[in-house]
Amino acid sequence: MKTENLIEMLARQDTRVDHRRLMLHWLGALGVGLLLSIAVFVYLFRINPDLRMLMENIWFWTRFAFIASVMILGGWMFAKLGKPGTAHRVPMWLAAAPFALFGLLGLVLLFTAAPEERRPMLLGISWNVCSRNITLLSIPIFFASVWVARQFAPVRLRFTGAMLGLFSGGAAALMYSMYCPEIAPTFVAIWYSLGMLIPAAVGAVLGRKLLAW
Amino acid sequence: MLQERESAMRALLIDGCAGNQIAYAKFLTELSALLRGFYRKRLMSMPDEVEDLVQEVLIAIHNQRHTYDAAQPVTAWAHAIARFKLVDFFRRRQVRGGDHLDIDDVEEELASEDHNAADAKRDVTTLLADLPPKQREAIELVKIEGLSITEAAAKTGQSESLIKVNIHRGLKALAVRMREFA
Repeated sequence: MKTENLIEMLARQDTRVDHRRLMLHWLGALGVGLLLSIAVFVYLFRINPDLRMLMENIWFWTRFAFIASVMILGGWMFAKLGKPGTAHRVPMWLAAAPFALFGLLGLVLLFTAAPEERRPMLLGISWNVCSRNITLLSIPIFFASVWVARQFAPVRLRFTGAMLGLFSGGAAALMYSMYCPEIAPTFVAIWYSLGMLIPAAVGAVLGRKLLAW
Repeated sequence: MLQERESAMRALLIDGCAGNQIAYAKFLTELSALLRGFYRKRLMSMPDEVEDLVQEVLIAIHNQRHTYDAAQPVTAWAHAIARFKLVDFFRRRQVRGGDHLDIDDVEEELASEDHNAADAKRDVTTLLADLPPKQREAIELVKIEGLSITEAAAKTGQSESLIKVNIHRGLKALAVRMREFA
């Protein structure tokens, strides 16, 4: 087929773009992923019965702010990276900012604490399951995000994969934080970060394969 | 001159995405000339590949046309795609240095036009024939014969939204096959 015939074909009928319908599709897909993640959460965990009490603690809210900022930033960068005209303007270091800030807080608290308090700050009571649980919860949202990303035109595939991983990890961590009683920033800075960075790393590694178009 | 081209193409694309088929065809024609110029210059040693790549990118851009953000320049958007597809092409061909190729020449956007289309090696018609029957049928009726969505739905017994979905899926599948066919 000659190029001019191909153009004729592409331009014939049905060239309209319905942004609202598309947006509903994407949100729908993300919603399905989110619901599946919630189902996993309900099956494996539950909302912490002491959540109200935890919420009275300032560290609950710093944890919340940290996770939410990772999720929002990941989602925002993911959205920018999907469009070729804006993708090159997204700076990579921005994704690291919440981790660096919260990590710094964790370090300061660790070094100002009494020596015998350091071990529980680092390990809490659930260090060995925390990151794994977050990663597990992120899987359905991760797949939904990949599906959405494939409807777009990412030109930086690994970076886009990493950001959609960060977004899914953030959403998963937010859910998990409704169950997990660990609010010490040092603990969160290590194990929550790891839990959100695992899906990000998977996204970066698989980005070229999963997101090619 | 560049500014004129930008505003002309922008208007054509926006009209096209609002349903103006003539404007959209003009946009794609302009775009194909720019893509051809871009790739001819960068694939000097592989002139036979140029038209295939132009066609592949045209279908890809058509499929992802909703990623054009009206606040952005069209040429920057198309240039980013053209560049990405070139790197992708090198990577698939495993051209040495393809990954590190310095094509970040943002200054020199899609600048030169080339209206002399060579023949593509790969035939889109053949690839179309290989699509799943429902997708092929929807594309043939609407995109080749020019039936409206309603007419095509009546003729095939598929619902209108299914016709649209099948056209969309078919063109996506076509893009994948064009990319893989090398």
